[in-house]
Amino acid sequence: MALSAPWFTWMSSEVELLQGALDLILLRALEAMGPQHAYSLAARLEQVSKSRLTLKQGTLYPALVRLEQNGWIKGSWRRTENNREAKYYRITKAGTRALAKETERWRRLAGFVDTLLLNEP
Amino acid sequence: MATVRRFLLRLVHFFQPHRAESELERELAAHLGVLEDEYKRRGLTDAEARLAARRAFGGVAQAKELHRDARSFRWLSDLRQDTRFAARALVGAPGFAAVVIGTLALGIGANTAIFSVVHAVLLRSLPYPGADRFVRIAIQFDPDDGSGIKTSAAPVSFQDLEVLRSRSRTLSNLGTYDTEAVTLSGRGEAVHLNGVRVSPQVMAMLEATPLMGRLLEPREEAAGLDRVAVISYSMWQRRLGADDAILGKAIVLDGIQYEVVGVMRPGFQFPNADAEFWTPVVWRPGQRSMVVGRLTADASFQTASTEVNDLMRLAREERRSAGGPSSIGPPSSPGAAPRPGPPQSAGPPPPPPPGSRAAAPPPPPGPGAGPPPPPGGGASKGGGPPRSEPIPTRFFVVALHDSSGAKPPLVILSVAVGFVLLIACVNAGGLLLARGIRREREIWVRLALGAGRSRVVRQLVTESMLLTLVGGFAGIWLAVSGVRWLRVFGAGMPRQDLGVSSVVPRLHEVGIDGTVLLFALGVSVVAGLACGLAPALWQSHVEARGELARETSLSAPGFNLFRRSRGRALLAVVQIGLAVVLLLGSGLLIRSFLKLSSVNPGYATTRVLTFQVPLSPNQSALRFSADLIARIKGLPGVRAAGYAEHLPLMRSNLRHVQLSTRSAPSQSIGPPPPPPPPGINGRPDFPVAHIVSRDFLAALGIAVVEGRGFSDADPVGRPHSLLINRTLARSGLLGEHPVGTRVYTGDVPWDITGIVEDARETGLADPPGPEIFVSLERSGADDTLFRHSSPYFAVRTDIPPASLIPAIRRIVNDVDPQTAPDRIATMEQILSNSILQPRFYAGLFGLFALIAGTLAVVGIYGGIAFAVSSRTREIGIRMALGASKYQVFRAVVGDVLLLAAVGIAAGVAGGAMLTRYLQQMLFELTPLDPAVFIAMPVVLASAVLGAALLSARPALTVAQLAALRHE
Repeated sequence: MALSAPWFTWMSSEVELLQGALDLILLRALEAMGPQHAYSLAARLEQVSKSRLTLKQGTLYPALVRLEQNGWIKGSWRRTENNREAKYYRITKAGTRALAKETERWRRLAGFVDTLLLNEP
Repeated sequence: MATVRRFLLRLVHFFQPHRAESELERELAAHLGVLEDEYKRRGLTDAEARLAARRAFGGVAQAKELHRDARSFRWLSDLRQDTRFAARALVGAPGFAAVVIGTLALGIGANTAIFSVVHAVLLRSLPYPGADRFVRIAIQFDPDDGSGIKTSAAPVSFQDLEVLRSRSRTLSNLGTYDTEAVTLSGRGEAVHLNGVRVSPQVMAMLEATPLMGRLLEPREEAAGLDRVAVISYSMWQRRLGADDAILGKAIVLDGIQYEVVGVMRPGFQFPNADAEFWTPVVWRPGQRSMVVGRLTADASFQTASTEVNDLMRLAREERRSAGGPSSIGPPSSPGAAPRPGPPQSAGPPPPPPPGSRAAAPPPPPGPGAGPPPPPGGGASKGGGPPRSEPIPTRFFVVALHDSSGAKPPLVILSVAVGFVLLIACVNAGGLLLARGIRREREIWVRLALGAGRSRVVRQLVTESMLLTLVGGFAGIWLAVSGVRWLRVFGAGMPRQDLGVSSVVPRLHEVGIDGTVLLFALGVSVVAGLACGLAPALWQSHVEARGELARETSLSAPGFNLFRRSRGRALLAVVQIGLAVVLLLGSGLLIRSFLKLSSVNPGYATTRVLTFQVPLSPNQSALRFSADLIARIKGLPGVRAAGYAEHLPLMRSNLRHVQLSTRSAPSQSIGPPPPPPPPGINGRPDFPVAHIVSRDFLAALGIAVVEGRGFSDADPVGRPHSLLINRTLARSGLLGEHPVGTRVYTGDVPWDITGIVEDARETGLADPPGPEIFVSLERSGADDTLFRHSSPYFAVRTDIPPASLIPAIRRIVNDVDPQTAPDRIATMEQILSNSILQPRFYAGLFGLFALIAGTLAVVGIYGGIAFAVSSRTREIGIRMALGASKYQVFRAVVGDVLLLAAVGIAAGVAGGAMLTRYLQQMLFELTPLDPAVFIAMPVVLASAVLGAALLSARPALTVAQLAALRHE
């Protein structure tokens, strides 16, 4: 999953496959890190990916809307430690199930691509 | 699951964007706040932190836009946005919008209205289940007027019907029906009712269930058992007081008691909405009637025709070998029976059989004994034409409800109205294009700002669609009032005794229903695409044409509006051409109608009041009528009054008699004579005979042109006085000076005492044929003359005839309190009713041509006005450089006038090819009538020229300096 940021952000709005990948990343991040607001989510992902994955707001927000409309995540207003209000997203049960399914799908696809790339003709 | 959920949520967000929008606002603000905190934590000041946060976040508006895309449907909100924008733009150009919407509304409205007629008359099925399998047995004939082969109901005898009923495998429910007008008495004033004599099998074919009681039963088709009636819901409600216990009670029809056995449901109608009751038909000896039935499941018109011919031939051969009389042949007289009269109309008005106006003429006037012979005898001493051998007849099984008579004019009307829509679309498209050219800068800017070409086209098409949909709704509104008007304009007097009662069959069913609305909507959408797409596509390529670059140059957009675009020039030609075709058609129809209405009918049309009086039972028609006439003559303002069997222009049976200058042996013995052979119409030796009261001709204003009319001074004994009409007098049959000649009908002698003016008896368009008149009082006619229809009265007045109506009502009531005058109309109304169809089609065609011509001229005007206003600068410079006004004018309108000339020429050529389809609708006019073909193009050409002058005037008054300052 070594994706360079500009390429990723460009592709994510255009290609279904990578859109799926973004969904997967967000769901996985929320599952692992617990409820996060949009900024912290982006910041943590950037941190984890060692700055290789920079999510522009234009990418992040549509993805969150999509996931929320799918019923996979749920947003609620809470206070940050600095006493600012922010919308925290948490993964739902349906989201956990979807994550499992998407992970499985991704693994199969990645495995297939790997095989394809390793067995050079 | 997740997909469905998301789809629904997106829809919700589309319709309720506000909550999500404020939520997003809040979330983005929070995001910025968190970022700000982050930067403050890193040591920036508040102000620096806020700026840094904004920088780091990037485009807020973009983020929102993307968010919206994801959360809702973009194309839907685009559409909404486009619609809003279009609406705003159109509100900003109200004149333009009004003209386009009005143009399209006229086109769509006219088409919708005509489609509603076509739908009701030609397309919609009849209100009976399986009505497309209903058939009638017909014969073909070739009428004298050269209008081509027509079918007419085949006269079938009861024996033949029995053969068909018992042996046919292709036809079921065989029987006949016939409408009749009777007098209902015993419940207040006597009233005329329209009823139907119908075979019970035919009534069963309609598969209707009664509201109460039962239908007629097959056994009731026999004399003695037939005194039963099924009545309509409206008769039950209106005439019989909605009596719940009506079943089993008696009603008196023409003096005979009938038991009510059933009441039909509301809405049941057969064969038309006028019929109020149904009684079983009883076949009289020798009667022949039309036969209807239903095709069985696996039969076709073809197989049924073959079978009917086979069975009829078989039946004839069997009878011949048995020595019986042949029962197949031309229509025969219905003889006389207690009630069933001569067929007045049989279902869908069948075309007249050869030789007579209606089905079967009653016997000719006899000698002293008076007109109709005794019942059953059928003898006519007057002598019919020689008997002819029955000709083998070929039968055809054809659809019962055939609106084919109404089809050609409706098709022509549909084409005409389609032309109007085409012209409207071309006009609207032209206006849209002109407007688009003005908006090129706006389009260019949008394209330059990154709008996709498809997005621009979509926006422009949305605008034209909005226009056409608004136009469509306005059109539907127009059509609703149009249909209301059509139903009034197309309806005649609701009288069965008149030849014409409405322009098309089932006119009362015409209306705007779901199908018609769908049609209107479809037409609107197609029109919107047709007139919007082409300009939109053209405009979206503004960039490629580099119009903007030339914006500051001399050649303003729209320069040489027509010459630049061949397509547009072609459209202008087509538009003018179509308008010319419509104008030619309407010119022909209107001229024909004017000719028709200026025909001298031969009788007075003003100040003649006519009416009929239903006879109450046991009343002597002659005594009653004589009493009535004597009293009416005493009224002030009455010049003459008389009565007869019928009035001119009625749907009635004409009686042809054989007239000769020598006595012929009487033919009183033997079977009833066959009806006059085909082709006797117009033969002077078979004139039409009218039996009229002494003053009837005077009351109608039919002038005596030579000799004298009937008078009391006429001798009572034979020979009686006979009047002939001018056509007969001129025929040569009776010599140079017919007055005083003795003639014979059979062996009965008559003296010709006078010649009267030709009267148009059957219709203004029908040339008068030879006719004779005999006096009812002197020829010894008795009450049997009025057995089939009550007498008609005519009163000639010196005062407005309608003012006499109360007095006449009073007199009728005095003479017989049990009855009242009915079918009151002036002769003017009857005459006007008779030319209903030509007036309807001429009026409608004229209206369409007017709309088409106006639209075409407006289109020309708009085109030139646009060219002038967008060329102001150019014109100013030209004039500054020394161009004369004439040169400027030529530059502006020259092309347009050339196109108009080409269009008119094309239209005349097209018209010359198309007007032949109007032939059947024209009276004494060829489809290439020179007057019309000269006048109409001249009218349009002058209108175009006028429009051109008017629209080009600003060009001539362009002030040179002002034009230059324009720069």
